[in-house]
Amino acid sequence: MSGNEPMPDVPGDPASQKENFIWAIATYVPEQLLAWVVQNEGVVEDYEELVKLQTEANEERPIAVARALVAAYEVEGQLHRFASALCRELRWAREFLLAATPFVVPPKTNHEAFYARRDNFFRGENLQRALDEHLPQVCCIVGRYELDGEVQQRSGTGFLVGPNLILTAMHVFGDLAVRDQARVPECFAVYFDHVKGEPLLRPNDSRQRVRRVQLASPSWLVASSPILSGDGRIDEPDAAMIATMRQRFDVALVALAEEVGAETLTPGGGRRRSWITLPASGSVTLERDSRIVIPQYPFGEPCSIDFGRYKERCRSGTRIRYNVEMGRGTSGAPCFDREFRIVGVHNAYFQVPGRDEANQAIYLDTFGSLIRPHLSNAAPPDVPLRLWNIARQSEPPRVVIGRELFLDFVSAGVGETATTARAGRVYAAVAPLEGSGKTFSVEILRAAFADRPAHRLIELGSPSELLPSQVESVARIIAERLGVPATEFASMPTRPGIDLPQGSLDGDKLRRWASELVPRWLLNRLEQARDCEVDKREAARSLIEQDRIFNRVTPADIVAIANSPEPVIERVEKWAYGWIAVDRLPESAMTPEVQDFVAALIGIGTHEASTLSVQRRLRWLFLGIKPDFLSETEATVEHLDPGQGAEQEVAAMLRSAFAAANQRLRDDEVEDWSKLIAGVGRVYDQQYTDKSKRYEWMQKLSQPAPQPYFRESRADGKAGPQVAVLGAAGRSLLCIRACRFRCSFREATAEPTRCSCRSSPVGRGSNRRASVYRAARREKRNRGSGAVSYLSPLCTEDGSNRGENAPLKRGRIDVGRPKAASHAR
Amino acid sequence: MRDDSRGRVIHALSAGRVIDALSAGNPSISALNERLRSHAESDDRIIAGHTDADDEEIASAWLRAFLRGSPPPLDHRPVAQLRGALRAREALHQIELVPPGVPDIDECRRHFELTELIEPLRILVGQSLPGEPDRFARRQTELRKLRGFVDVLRSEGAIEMGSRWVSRSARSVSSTFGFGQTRLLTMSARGGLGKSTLLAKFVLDHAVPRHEFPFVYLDFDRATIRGRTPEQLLIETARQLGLSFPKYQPELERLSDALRGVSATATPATDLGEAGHLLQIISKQILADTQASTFLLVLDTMEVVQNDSEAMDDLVEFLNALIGLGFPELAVVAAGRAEIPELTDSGAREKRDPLPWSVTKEELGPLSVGDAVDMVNLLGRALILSWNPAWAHTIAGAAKTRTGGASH
Repeated sequence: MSGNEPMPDVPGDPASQKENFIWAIATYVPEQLLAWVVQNEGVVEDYEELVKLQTEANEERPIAVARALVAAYEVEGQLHRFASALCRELRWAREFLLAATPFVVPPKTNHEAFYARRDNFFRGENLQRALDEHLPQVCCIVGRYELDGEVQQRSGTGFLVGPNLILTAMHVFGDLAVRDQARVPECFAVYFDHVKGEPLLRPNDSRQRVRRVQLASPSWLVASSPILSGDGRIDEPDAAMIATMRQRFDVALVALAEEVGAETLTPGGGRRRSWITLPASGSVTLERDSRIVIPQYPFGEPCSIDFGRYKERCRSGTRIRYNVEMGRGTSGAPCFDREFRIVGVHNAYFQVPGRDEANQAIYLDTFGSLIRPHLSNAAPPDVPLRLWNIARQSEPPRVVIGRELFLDFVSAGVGETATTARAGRVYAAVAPLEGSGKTFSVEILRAAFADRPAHRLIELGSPSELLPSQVESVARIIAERLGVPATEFASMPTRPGIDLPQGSLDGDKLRRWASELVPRWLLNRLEQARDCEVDKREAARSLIEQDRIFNRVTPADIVAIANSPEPVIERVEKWAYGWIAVDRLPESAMTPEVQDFVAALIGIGTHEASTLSVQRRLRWLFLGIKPDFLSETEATVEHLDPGQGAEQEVAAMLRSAFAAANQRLRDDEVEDWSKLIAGVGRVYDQQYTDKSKRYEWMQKLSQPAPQPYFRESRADGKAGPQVAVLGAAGRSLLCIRACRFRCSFREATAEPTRCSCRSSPVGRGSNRRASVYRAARREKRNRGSGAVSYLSPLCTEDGSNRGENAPLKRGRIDVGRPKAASHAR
Repeated sequence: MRDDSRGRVIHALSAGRVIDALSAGNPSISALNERLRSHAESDDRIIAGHTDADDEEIASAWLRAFLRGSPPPLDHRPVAQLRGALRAREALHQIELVPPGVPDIDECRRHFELTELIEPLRILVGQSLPGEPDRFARRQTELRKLRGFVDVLRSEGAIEMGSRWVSRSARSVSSTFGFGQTRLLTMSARGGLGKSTLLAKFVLDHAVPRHEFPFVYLDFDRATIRGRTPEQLLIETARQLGLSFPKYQPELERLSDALRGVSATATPATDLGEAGHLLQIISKQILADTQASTFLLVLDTMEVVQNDSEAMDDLVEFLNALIGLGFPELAVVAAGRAEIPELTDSGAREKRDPLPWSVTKEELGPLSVGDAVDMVNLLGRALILSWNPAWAHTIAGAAKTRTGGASH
């Protein structure tokens, strides 16, 4: 539907409105996005379970899922939250917004949020990549202090130029920086990753997914240049003023208390935040009307971006002016040129009678020499850190043990470096046994792509879905997920049949159809869908309609684009890489025709250099077996065996966990844990022949357990299964150390009282022992047997603490004698 | 079926493992049984192919048939039905106790893959169901030569019988004295002359009615076959043999595993020559079991291989591995758009060794107008109720110009 068509009316009665909303969710919200929103909102505890419980046929299932979700949110009185969250994600879908409007109770901040982000629409080639890289490096600075009996509230923007250094405007810190500099660290804080939600107004605001960092104390100000009184209102400076302007740049290089630039963007590992490297002096020149891009945090609102054009440089040569829209609280924001090189630091609104209004930045070349001596020469780390945890920040850690080959494969694929070998884009996990973690690979991918929308995940087969058995189904799934319009499906070559030849020489050749015709069709459509030209008028009209829905005035430039008689064309890259995971192998084999189709899409039989560029953008993962059509050199092959020891793998995981928080795990700690893991592995191997749960056990070592894991001793006195409360104990080290460095880990602990690190770096142990004791009593009550054994590396049987290097301790708690022989549960 | 096993079934259903949920709620066992019984008649119709059911409906019908414990046999089913049966069986793969009589997944898969192997050929000759008449006509001379070359089917006429007797006797004598050779027949024809259709007809005549001799069909049109290593071609050969002769499937699968490098047990054949030798031994066991004299290997669309010298080298290596020190029972038919000197001319081979096979060359000419008219008439009668045979002459002229004589 074009933006010129009239908006359909929203049906009036509540029941119809709700049905309309349900329909819109089922129609417009991609499954992955829906899952993401629901999981983030937190009202529905288990989205996957909710989906599984909908037993309707495939085509009716989205409606059933949407209905169940609406009902769940309605029961909790949170439907408006759900609707608002979806609106934020689907602001491009006009019909969806209309359907959701009756259910949104839009507080003012939501309006602001809409506006703050709207220009994300106007993306140029490679813009997405640049924003992905730089937005995490831009921060919001918030301050609140009392001076002369008056409470002052300050906000500004800054950006990382070193692991713990940000550059911003000096005036962001207000009078406090002049009159009582020592108080600045306690009155100001810096926030990264504030991309959604309410504005940040206080320096002590603690939120999930927002990284808060304090200023280094007491030496927070590394370098600075004073502010210039009347900056932004000086048009024709005389010689004296020019000299003053050349001495007062209103910039500050500020040290943070933590090296946030060296951390990973998520605690689970992956890409590091890194920092912006300042270009060499004189290396960037600005032409009139060249692009200026400024990410900013207006009023402490979530990060937004505006695009404008460079207009002029002031007579002093120190200030540049542009028509980028800026709000209050954006001072200190980085000014990028088209190539995303820093050209200045935003500092003022330029307002002189008789002159066009503009915004102003301090030109980098004029003050760069003041800053550069304090910057490290070390290049920002560009190698992603090994992913160690795939849980969201609000969840207990879900650790990744081993899988080095897979993680390397994913890291290489996520990076923008083009792979030249086929094995760089084809992966096969050979996992003949259950519990090897092959399906876990998909979860790893989801975590790895959480902040990378340009990477699309396509699942063929899953624990609840059979592998598609026909070429058409596979082609449609891939096409849909990679943005091929449904209208294109009609042009898919028809399957040969005996009724009639299909009009071409090879119209009756089934194998050629599966191996050539459909793959060629699909690749062609994917290429068109991936990199396409869009008419910006459509997006502008959509924005105008959003504004109408929310009673806002649309800015003139948007209206101008919408009303342009000529198309306003821009190239858009919709996705960068498609990751196609073929799961459920080998329990559900690919049919031969699907194998032919997949082999053709990969380019089997064709030299890698001769494959199409869009083919090389498809990453393939075969989870369970290596298909026979792949030779050894054509795939990265990983053999998974749950029965193998995990000592080294756990050690690597632990190191990554701490490195993600920019901390180092001591070797002796690693050694302790390696011993523990080895011990558990041996105990497990002695007790169980089924290895399918072995990795699961290893995972539970490092996460809080809702129930203590225990096994009772057998009544005949022989050693029964003795793996004990490791779930509760095992998570301790991570929590203990991590809590000290990143509050998000504390939030990750399901039951804060169990987080034993609060009073001691090694854990109290008494909580753990008490829980074991309670479990033993419960067992006695239920089964007449109450002996529980446990292993703990951290505390002794009586609950006292022996320190971090305490040896592995085996304990046993008896609550009366068992009455009869019983079997392990 | 005991109640607890039914409970597992229901648990599996509620866990979303099935294609067609039997009930939206939590039905009792009796309600479930009632529901299953109520579908029996319509399911039978769907499975018998008497309805226009789509794939989901077919799979659901098979699933209910499995749950009722009375699934119909899998033999001689169209590929769509077997696909549905396989999907239904896969959906139940974690069910511990399935009713007796329900085939296991491997059996379902074998039936499906065997039929799917034949399906493209059936489409080429216009055969609606396995075993039913097709629309292929003429090319009798070429068919006779092919039949004689393979020498498995009954002779059609005294001359063919006599000719075959002579060839067979010569082969027998050669084999007895230890210098029997593999036979290679190359068939070349430019595109559109009906070469693939002729091969399809030939293969269907040999392979489909009864699986009485080992037969493997490698079509290099398939993306999974083209440009593959000798090991991969051996694995595909083993797979196809296993489909036709399930008794040998475990042995063949072990051989494949050894080639894949995933198993160090039972058959540690990592060497190509050894693997080929083992495959030959198994093939000879099959020949002995079936009392057949020929192992037929069809290599179709050879022009794809000829475009890539490396792929051709790999194919030759595969053949050499299979033949080993001698495999006189092996008959290879290789068809392509051009002659295949890489296989027929020792001078064209890099090593210039003597060819390990005897060569017969066949070139397919354009279809005669009479043959074309007959074919068009067959097609017309099959598709149009009020077909006028006079139309065939007009169309055959056009068909000859366009395709030179493809089967349709």
